[in-house]
Amino acid sequence: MFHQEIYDAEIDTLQKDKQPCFLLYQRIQKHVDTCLQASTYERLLELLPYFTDSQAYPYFHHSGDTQRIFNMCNFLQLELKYHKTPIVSVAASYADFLNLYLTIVFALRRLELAFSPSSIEEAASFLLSIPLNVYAAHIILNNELFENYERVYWDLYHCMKNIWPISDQILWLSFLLEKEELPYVRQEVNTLKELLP
Amino acid sequence: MNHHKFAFIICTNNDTYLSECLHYLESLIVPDGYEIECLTIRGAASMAAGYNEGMSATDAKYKIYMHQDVFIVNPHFLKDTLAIFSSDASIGMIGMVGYPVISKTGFMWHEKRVGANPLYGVKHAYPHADYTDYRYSLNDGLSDAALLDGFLLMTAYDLPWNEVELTGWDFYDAFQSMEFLLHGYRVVAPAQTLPWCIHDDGKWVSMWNYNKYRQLFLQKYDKYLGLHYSSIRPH
Repeated sequence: MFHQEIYDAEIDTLQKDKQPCFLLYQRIQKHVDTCLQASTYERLLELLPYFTDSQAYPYFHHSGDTQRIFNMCNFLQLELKYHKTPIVSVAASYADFLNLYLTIVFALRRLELAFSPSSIEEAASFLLSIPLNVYAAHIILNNELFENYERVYWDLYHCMKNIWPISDQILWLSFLLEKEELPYVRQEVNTLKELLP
Repeated sequence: MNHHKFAFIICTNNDTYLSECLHYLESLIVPDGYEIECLTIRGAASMAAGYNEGMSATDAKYKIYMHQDVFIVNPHFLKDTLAIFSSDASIGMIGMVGYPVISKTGFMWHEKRVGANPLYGVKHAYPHADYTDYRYSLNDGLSDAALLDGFLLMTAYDLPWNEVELTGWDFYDAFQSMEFLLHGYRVVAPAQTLPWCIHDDGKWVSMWNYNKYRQLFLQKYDKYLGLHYSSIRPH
């Protein structure tokens, strides 16, 4: 009975929060729209407190859409810090952003599952058509449903090898090595290091 | 009724998800002598209403009711599920995740679950998913359940979805599971050593209207709460 009361209370809270939560969500959407339309990407980071503040709305971490905005803020911070073209620069609205984000997830998953050559080719072609960088790819991969990291990190590395600078390639493979020690990946990193100026 | 046909029935409101969902369906291996069709329902008033619309629009014996954000990654899904239905004519519905006991709270996931490994949303280590040599066998396991999770439900018999009471997007799965059980059918979930589907719901559990239908479930099936499937299904 104790658990029943806890869950009933949780549901009651959720019901009460429905309206304010939607209003807050709409405000976030509007802010994303404004920033993307004006290409003022730094201002997107103003959304971070919605997730990180001690008073932040807890259910935003359970929502796919809002969690994806949080992920975007996290990789945008790194993109700006390391002078990468923000991946969101190819999105002109909130809807565009979500569509872009999902398509990246789906393309990475096609690399992971490798069902057919055409499926992989289509995914690779899309990933090469956007300014995908190691920070966005790493954060997306680690916050969405993936399990065969070895395959997806390794295949994306090969896909982006001619696009990403060598230092980024090393960083990318190091992310994989943090997950599991793979001799062939270690060997590749060592080879890449020799190519650094 | 076409006994050699599968129909995928998907309520949709997002083209990006739908397109990816269909991509995986196109990759499925269709058993010899069978055909498939995909019915996408837009603008449905509710999940139950959309599924009824799909049900009445096809003559396929086997219907796969699934969310637009479910990607079937087991290429042998159709053959494997066909083998399950063929093993026992009383099997009415297959799900990927099931619960043998009906939770007293109405939250099905408060009970022990059967079927899939904890691969839906839970990252795991080795062995990595590789479907090259994967084939399901009944020896892997097939668990009876009282309730099945609705992200994917496959039926071999038609029972109407309760669109009169279920006017939203929740609890249609629990209600339908109960109806199959009470009509004497088995509802089952196969043990999946590799996941058969990815449910890419963005880790979002939309609970806004959940309570309304949870209360309805608790009232309607009050006498079955806390019971094991074996005590519910008439023999």
